[in-house]
Amino acid sequence: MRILHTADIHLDASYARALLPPAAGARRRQGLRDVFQRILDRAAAWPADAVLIAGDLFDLRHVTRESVAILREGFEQLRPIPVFIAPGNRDPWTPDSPYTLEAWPANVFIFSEPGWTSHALAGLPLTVHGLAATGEDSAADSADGPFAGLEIPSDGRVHVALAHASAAELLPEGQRPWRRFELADIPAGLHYLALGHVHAPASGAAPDGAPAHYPGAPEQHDYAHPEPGHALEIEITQDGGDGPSAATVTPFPAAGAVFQQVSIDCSGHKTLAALERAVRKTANAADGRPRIARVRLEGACGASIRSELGGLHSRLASDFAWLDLEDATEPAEDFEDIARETTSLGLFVQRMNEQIADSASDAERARLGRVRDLGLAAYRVQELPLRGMEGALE
Amino acid sequence: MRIQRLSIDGYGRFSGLKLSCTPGLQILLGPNERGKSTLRAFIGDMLYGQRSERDPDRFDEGHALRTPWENPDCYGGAIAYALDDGRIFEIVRNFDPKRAAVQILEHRNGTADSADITGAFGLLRNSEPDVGLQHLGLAKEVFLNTATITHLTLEDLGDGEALDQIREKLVALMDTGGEDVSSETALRWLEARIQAIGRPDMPGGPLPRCETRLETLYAERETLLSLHAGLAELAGERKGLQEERAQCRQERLELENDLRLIDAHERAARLREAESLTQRIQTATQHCFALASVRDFPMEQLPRVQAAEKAVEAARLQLERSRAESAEVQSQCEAERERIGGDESLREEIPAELEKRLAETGGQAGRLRERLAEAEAAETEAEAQARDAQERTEALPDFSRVAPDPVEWISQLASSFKVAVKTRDEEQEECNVLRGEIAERESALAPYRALFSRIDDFPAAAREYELRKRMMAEHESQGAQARQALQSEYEELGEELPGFRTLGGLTAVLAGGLAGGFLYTQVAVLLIPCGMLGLGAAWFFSHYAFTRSRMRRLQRQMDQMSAERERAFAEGASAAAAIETMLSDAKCESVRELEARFDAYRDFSAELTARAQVLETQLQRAEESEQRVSRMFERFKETFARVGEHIADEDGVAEAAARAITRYQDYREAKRQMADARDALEKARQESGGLREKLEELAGNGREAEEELRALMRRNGFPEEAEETDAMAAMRAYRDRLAAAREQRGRLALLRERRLNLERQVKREELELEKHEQDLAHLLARAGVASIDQWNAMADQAREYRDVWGKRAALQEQLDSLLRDSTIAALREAVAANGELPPSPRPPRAELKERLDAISARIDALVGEEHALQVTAAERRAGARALCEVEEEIALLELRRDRLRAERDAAAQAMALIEEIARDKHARIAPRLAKKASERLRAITGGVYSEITVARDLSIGVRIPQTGRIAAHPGKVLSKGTVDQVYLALRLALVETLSESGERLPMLLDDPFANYDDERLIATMRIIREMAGQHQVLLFTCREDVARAAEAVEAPIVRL
Repeated sequence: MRILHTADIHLDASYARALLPPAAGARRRQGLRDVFQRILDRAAAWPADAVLIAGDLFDLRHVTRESVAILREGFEQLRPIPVFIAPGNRDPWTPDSPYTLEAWPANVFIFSEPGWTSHALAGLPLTVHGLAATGEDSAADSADGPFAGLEIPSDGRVHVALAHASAAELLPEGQRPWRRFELADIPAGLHYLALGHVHAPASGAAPDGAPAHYPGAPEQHDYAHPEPGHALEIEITQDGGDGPSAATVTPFPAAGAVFQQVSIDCSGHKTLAALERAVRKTANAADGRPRIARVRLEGACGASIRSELGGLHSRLASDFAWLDLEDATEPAEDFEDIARETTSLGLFVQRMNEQIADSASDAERARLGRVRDLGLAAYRVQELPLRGMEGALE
Repeated sequence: MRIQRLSIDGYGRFSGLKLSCTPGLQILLGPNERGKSTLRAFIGDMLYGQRSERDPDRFDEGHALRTPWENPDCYGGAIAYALDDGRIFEIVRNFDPKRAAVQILEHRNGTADSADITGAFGLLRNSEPDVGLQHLGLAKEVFLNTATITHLTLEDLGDGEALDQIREKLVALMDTGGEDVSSETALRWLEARIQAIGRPDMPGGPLPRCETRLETLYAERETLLSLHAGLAELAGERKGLQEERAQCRQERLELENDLRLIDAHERAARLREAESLTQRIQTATQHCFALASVRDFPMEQLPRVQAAEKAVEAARLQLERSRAESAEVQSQCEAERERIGGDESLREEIPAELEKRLAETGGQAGRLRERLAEAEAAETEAEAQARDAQERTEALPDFSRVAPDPVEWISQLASSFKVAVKTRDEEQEECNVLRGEIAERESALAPYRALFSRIDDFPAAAREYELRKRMMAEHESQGAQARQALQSEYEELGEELPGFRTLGGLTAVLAGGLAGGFLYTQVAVLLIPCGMLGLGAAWFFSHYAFTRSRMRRLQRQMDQMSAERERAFAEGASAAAAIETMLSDAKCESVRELEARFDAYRDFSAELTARAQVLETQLQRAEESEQRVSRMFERFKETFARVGEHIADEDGVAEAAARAITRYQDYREAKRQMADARDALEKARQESGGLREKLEELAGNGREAEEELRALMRRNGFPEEAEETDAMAAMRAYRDRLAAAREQRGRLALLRERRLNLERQVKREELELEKHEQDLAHLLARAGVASIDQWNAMADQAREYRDVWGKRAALQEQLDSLLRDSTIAALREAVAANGELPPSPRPPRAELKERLDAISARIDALVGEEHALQVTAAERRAGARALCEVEEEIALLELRRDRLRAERDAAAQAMALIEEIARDKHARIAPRLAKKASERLRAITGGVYSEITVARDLSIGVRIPQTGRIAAHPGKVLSKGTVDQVYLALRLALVETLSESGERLPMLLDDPFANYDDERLIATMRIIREMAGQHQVLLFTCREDVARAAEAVEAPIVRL
């Protein structure tokens, strides 16, 4: 039995949190559609006996007709391979959801109940148990966990569960749980538990040894997730009847672009060209996939370089799928020496040094540092790029 | 700081140069390109180094410029200098990048005792030791810019902005140590930055644009959210429509089957009806054959025959009506002719010209009479006014003998007297102010006077006190060292003394023992050690005695030094007692502070003396003013009496002048009114005479016209004119009668014309009746009948034939319609083919059809609604961006907005702090700068320019001697040289002021006398010589006249 398992594609997701401009966001959304298409192509070519999508296929708030049409067409082309979808917290089964409103091909089965329902395939010894997020789940999240009420019969068929839920043992720190459960809650008799919601690949096992997997988001959505996930190719073999089964899990990478966040200390670079090379190096660092990079320039930096930082983005932008260049540099000045001067400039720097030393937080220190920076540049009539105007809105 | 010597191994053009500097003024004379600027740069580089201020691995650009010309490998030198506290340092540097090194030495006892203290200094960011910063308290740029004073390099020294430009240089020096950038420049920079970011109250700028765009995006996001909700509703509706449409299609299919069964039943019924129709058609055909004779009767002529018959009848009736009307009109004409009677002769109209003449003559005569009455009234009034004006003129003084323009004359007199009084009052007020100032200064000076009057020459006493104090300190230091050395030696000797004594005793005892042994044993060998021990004992005892003697001498020396020290202290104390007392009384901690007070006292005294002189002059001017006022008052009393005004005192002059002017104005007004009244009287008399003549002439013309009118009326047979005395009334009566006669004649003419027209109409109608009768006869003949009754009978038969034939055609048409392009045979076959039919459905066909139509319509409507929903959805989506794109743009713009606000706020905070610091600093330094600069300028210009003012914002003003006022923009008043001297005075004052709280800076003067004349050059040189007592001055010049001036003040000159 061959099953392709994916989740958390988030078609039509917004990249506002990653601070991508609309044009770059549109390119990324097209990238997500490409990822989805690659997964379906793989299912057809392998070929898979069934495709399982464990939620967050799209983002209900932003989903477009184009993406729904692409989904419908993709599933149609996949016929007769059955596709099972368990709606997640971002694409819940609601009256206004495309799941409800659209006419889906006959090979698509969408779970619509907040409790478990089962679907036994006619031509295959496969039964898929699934549940859906319906928009009322937070209230319906019972203390018994999402697996309460699921019983797996011993009927000689392969039983697979599909859910958008959070295994406490596999949930990354900081991520909000959704239908939280523990691996110990998984009922006996399952051959595979296909999960969604965790964007980084993760795996565990039920008490009876049945594997439980998060494939992760096949493509990253922001800088918070270090590595992209993938689709999973599951092959389940069974020694006849209710005999022992074995599931082999092979990842299928489908990601397009890579999100990357780096800080560069400018104090180590004597010229703008050297700094430019250092930034460009991050673009060519990995496997040749396009980079969406957030580069923060830090540290003390010479006046000649600082005055030119404003033009750096335009020179580097072509090396990245998107570049967010933040100037957080400081002037390469000895403020203590300047503060010893008896001039007004010396007094100004002295007063600012005192305020900075007395400040309670890093943010306040940075703010006062900028005040000192601007005052010094004003006394020296230096060019200083305007902060806030880095990069460009496409 | 005082530079003692410069030792240049290699630096620019110099190689192996050693230059000793005097602590005061020293002139470095040399032509251009002899290295004066190089020496200045050498001093800066030696004190601060040459490395870049921000990069320890690099040298600044001056490094390459100063590389030695002769031996580049030997690049460096040394500078030795003494600080104000007496410590002496030497900095040795090598600027060669490969062997760059710096060593700082402190010389304690001349150069003999030197300690390397390089490690005692911290490092600047450029890795140079901060010796310059520590010793001078200034960064390199600040030191060089502050200490270096050159002549003013303004493009136009004499322009109105010269003082502003000097101010900008001073402000820049104080704010940044540079010559170009000040706090004001920084504030402008920050203001420009804030403006570049944008403010809420100003359009433009990225921040307002960003905020505006965000507002738009928030609204767009709300719209998109509601759009999404609406689209979801539409999608739900569409899904419901699709389900309903499927149900309707099923229902329509069932209805169509029922209709097909009904069609079969109807087809059988139609066959039966077709066969019945065929039978009825055959019956009608046979009836038609019976009426075949009238088949061709011209029934189509029926309308024409009927019309012709009606036309004949109508023409006949019309002819009769016309004939009757013609007879009626004839009788009316006869009656009207009889009514006109005898007015036939009244036909002639009154000529318009005659009527106009009569009317004009009458109107003109009336107007002339009115004007005559007005002219006579004006004449009477003018006579009264002339008399009144004559009386008033005679009552006033005759101003025509006083002056050509009495108002101007009186005003000038009053004005000049007022100016004289005001001048006198101002002079007296000025005297009072001066007295007050002098009293105030006297009281302020009193404590100083009490303090400094105890000593005749305080500066000399203070210098002596300082000198004595320094000498005492040196003596004390030297004495302490000597005492310490003596004490150490004394103690060392004291420690040695017991040893010598013990060893001497021991050797003596041993020698005695051996001598005893020799005496006892007579062994000669014992004499040798005995002798040696004896010698040793002698040596020890002699050293003991010498040491004792030395210790006594040392003790005496120490006692003597103590006595000398006490004596010196006693002498010093008595000499310094006066100064110490003054310090105590004045509560000063140092002599320098006391000197500052003495300077202030001296300044106050000088100022007081100057004020007293000014007061004396002012008193003289006040006296002169008083005398001038008295003389003028006497003269004015006499003068005003001529115009009838008497003045009692000074205060009455202005009022008397005002009254005199008022009186003159009354006089002038009365004269003018009298002349006007005489002119008006003459004019009124002339006008009334002319009017009377014109009235006579018009009366003659009116009489002629009236006669002419009456003759015309009589001629036309209107005797009633004699009854009217007024010609115009007779004319109106004649006209009324003439109009009535004309109306009667018109009525008669109309009746005659109507009678003629009726006669012509009767003739036309007779001809028309004849024509209609002929047409009717012609139509009857064509139908083969003789009369109209016969024609009607034939027509009834033809009509019956046509009815039967028409019915047959209708039956045939009904049959064709029933068969519907088919035939009875084909219909018969179809019915036979259906065979036995089931019963027809219960709802009738119409109902089924109606339901089918309704269902079809519903399906169409559902398709239409679905299409409309699709169109609505498409329309709503059209032009709308994706929500995620809007959210992405919002996120980016919010970040940009926040960063720009932070940038703007940071700039505003920097502005506020810079402004506060600069304001405080400038305000604090301004009065000291003004005082010192005024002293310098006074001395340079020999008292011509005595005061420079420096406001809190460091705005500079100079008291101009010609006006005695402070001018901030003197324009061309100050010569180029004076502006240059103002600048030098301020720069010297700045160096002095900045040195007050720290090390006294040496001054590097670089040919500052470009625009000086000889007298001021000498004066300036004296000042510099005087200042050199406090500050070391190195004066670089290429001019021999400067060298001569320096020689005049006995300043040493070094020729480069």
